[in-house]
Amino acid sequence: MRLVLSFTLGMLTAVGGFLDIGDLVANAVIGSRFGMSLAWVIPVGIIGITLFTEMAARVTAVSGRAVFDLVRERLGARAGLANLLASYVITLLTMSAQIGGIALALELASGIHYLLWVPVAVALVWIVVWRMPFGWMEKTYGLLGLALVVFGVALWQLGPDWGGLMTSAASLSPPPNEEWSVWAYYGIALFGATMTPYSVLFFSSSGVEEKWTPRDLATARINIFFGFPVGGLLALAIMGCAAVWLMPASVQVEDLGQVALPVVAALGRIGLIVVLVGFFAATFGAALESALASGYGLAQYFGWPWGKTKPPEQVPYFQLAILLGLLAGTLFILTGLDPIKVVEYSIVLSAGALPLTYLPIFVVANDRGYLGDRVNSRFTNIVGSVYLVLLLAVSIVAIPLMLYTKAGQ
Amino acid sequence: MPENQERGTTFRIGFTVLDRQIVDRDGGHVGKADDVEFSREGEGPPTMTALLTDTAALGPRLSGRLGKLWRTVLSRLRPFDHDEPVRIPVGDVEVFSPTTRLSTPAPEGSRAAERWLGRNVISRIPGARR
Repeated sequence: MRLVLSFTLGMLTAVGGFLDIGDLVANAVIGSRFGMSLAWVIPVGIIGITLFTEMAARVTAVSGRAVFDLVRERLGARAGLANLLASYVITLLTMSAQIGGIALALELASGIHYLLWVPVAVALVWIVVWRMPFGWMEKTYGLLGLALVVFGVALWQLGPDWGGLMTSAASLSPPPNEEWSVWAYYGIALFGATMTPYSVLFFSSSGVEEKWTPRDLATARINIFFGFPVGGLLALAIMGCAAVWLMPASVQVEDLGQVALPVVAALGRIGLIVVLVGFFAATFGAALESALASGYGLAQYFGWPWGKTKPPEQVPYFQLAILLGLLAGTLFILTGLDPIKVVEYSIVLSAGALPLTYLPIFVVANDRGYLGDRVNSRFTNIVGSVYLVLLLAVSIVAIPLMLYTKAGQ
Repeated sequence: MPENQERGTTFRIGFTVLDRQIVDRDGGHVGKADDVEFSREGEGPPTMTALLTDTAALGPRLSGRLGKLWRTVLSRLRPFDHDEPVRIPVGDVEVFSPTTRLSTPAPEGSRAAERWLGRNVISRIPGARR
């Protein structure tokens, strides 16, 4: 019974922790503008992140080491450093976006301007990093994040023309009034949001924090194989709500409130409360994960002691790195840049940097020195290679497409 | 796995030694193998005598100006009584790969700046010792 409970809890946590501000914004923006015509990107991204997260989980469970702990060993000092710097900057940008998201969710709940909420949000994130036990942290935001299931309920309540949605999803081309280049640009943004690199970095380090052994691998796999696809369904529901309710009203999504509009239309005040809880949990959880991921990356490259489960006094550089990262992110958001724009740029830049995260995972997952006979199977390697080609193609076109389309205008 | 499995066999220092995580006898992190020291006695071939672990020691391995700047800036963080990168004699190494494990406690002077920071800054924030 206890086992069943822990399995269920793990899976629910994986579902609830899957979405972040990038997914919320990207899916709503895309649904309101392109209907369901980019829905196919979500399953493509989900298969990719499932595949590579499983590799990372296997590496961690068998070798007891986080993937990025191994990057420097395999790439060497120089290439490893270049990789670290690029990943670090993008992780901080993503973290800033999540902090902006927390503040926007609090603004929606209170009516007080989001900039006033930014310091509060950061202070909360830091206190959790500093004090809260690891397992509690993950479970709390994971379970609260399940509130986003409300998008599924809202979609069903809105009683859409399901056939029309399917036709739109199967069209694989932009609506008549939109350009191919803009459509492709948003497709790449959505792909970057679905395959968010920081979450894999966090996941593999959290395995070390929780002292995984090969016996924990089964649990981790179930969570991944169940949690991520269901998380993907939630993403589709958000896109569907936007396509059904925002697109006909020709609403251009420019803030977080508009993402919630279809839910409010379908379910009223209760819906609003639930969706705000979901927004807060999703952004708060992602802010924690990305803040920790930034500290993990630095500590693992330089060989510092690290771990949220250790007393901060014993891991001073790790804690200091997180604290300084949070301060930098706060200052960045406090400049008053539109947080939604920060989100959009962070997911496109993530898309541009995808191979930096996933190529090393692939290399290490094939290394018998670490994994013995638990290296990738031939099937995993074939699918993984196809994905690496795709990731490389995406990373090459991401930035030029962003410039060409003026970031999708 | 037998100890000292690398000794007596051929291995590439760049692959087996450099950039590996070094842990002490108790499994605590000491640092990465940032560089290695070679010595030459008489006319014989140079032999690897020590691992250097010190972020500043990474400088010469990054190219050009960045490497020099790296070394200059980071070597300032060393404590006054330890103005050299931390040396770990090769004899202290129990096994190199996959993690470099020492048969001794962490060498003196390693993580000096970090320990100072932990003692004097981080531990003063409430909850640092939980």
